[in-house]
Amino acid sequence: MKISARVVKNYANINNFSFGNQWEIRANEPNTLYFQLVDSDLASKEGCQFRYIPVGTDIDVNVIFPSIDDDGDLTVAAAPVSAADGSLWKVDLTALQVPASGNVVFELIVDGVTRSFGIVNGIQVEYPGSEGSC
Amino acid sequence: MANLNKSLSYGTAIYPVHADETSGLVKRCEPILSPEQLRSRYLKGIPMAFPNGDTFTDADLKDKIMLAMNEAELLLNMTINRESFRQKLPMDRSLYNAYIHLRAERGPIISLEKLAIVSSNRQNIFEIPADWIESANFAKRLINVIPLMAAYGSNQLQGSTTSTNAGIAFLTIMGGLGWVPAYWEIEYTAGMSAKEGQVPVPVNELIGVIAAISILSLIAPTNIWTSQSLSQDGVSQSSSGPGPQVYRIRLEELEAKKHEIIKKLKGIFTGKFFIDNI
Repeated sequence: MKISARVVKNYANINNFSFGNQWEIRANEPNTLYFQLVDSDLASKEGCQFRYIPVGTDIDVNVIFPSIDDDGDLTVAAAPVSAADGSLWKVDLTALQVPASGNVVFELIVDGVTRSFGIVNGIQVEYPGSEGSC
Repeated sequence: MANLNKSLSYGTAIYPVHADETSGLVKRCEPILSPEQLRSRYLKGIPMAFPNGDTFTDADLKDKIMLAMNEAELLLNMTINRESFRQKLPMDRSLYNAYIHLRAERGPIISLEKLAIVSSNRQNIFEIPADWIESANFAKRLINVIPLMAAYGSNQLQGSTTSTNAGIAFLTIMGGLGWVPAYWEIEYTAGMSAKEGQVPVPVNELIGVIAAISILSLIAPTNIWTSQSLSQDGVSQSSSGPGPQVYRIRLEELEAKKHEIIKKLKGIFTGKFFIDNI
């Protein structure tokens, strides 16, 4: 079993959302990022993936936005979106929590067992008004 | 991850080099290319499907972008994002006499965490105080030690691990040596952007061009027919096309563009200085 995650966009309810290649957000704004846990081993040749619903008594999901700077590393606990679909999760970022564009790492902890996986280039962050230099 | 609390940097942007402040009227930095941007900037009008039914999915394009990023880093000998490095440099007398002229393996240097004389068993023998280190040429990978402040100005070094100026005498004695391999140890971060996750637009252009070349060179050979004809009962029709050469001109243009961007980026982020014993 190879667990992974897919970026969810335009979330309305558990039956109404779309998938995306990456989250696209603007810095210094509060953002809610949705994602779905999937089982990559069950992916079809055409790229269809099956959702993964973790089963256990104690389930935690953390989303890590990496940084080379210890102070820039951002780890946010995710919350399940609905009791009706345990594969869908979300993280809320405050305006002060600004991740760096790039890969996103996930930690799924079920009854003390941790599985880590990531999305390549999972987030794009724009900095309106300050993109003249970097 | 690295602890960058002791960082020494020049304080200007990495791109444009030495930009102290920018208006924001022109966009020069952006996140790494997305599959949608790759398609709209470089692959408009290109059928992303093969005759056998295979297609380029967004996941495939993402993979191509990842491969192109790594190729770009190799071609430029620079890391796209800020990364932390540690290396040892030799003590060369001529470079030593030129205000300890050191050139880091990776660049542009965003910040310097440590410059020290470190023994082979990794003992810190002497750490150069940050106040003596000239950071103005970090963009060109250059580190100089110019302790003029210590010699002529204030003797108080704030925030350094050396409380007195005894190091100057130490450095003077060591200046008598000709060559010591693996003498200076530097710890630094380098990358093409001081803002994590943002890359200069020309770097994204290079990544896109490399990815587009890879994709077009996969699609073109599947266009195998140069001519086709059909005849029946004295009526015939024929057509001819470029066949596998279909994207040859486009590929040549992209290759030329790739070399031009690499040349320009290397030009702005590196410099050649020749200092030697005569």
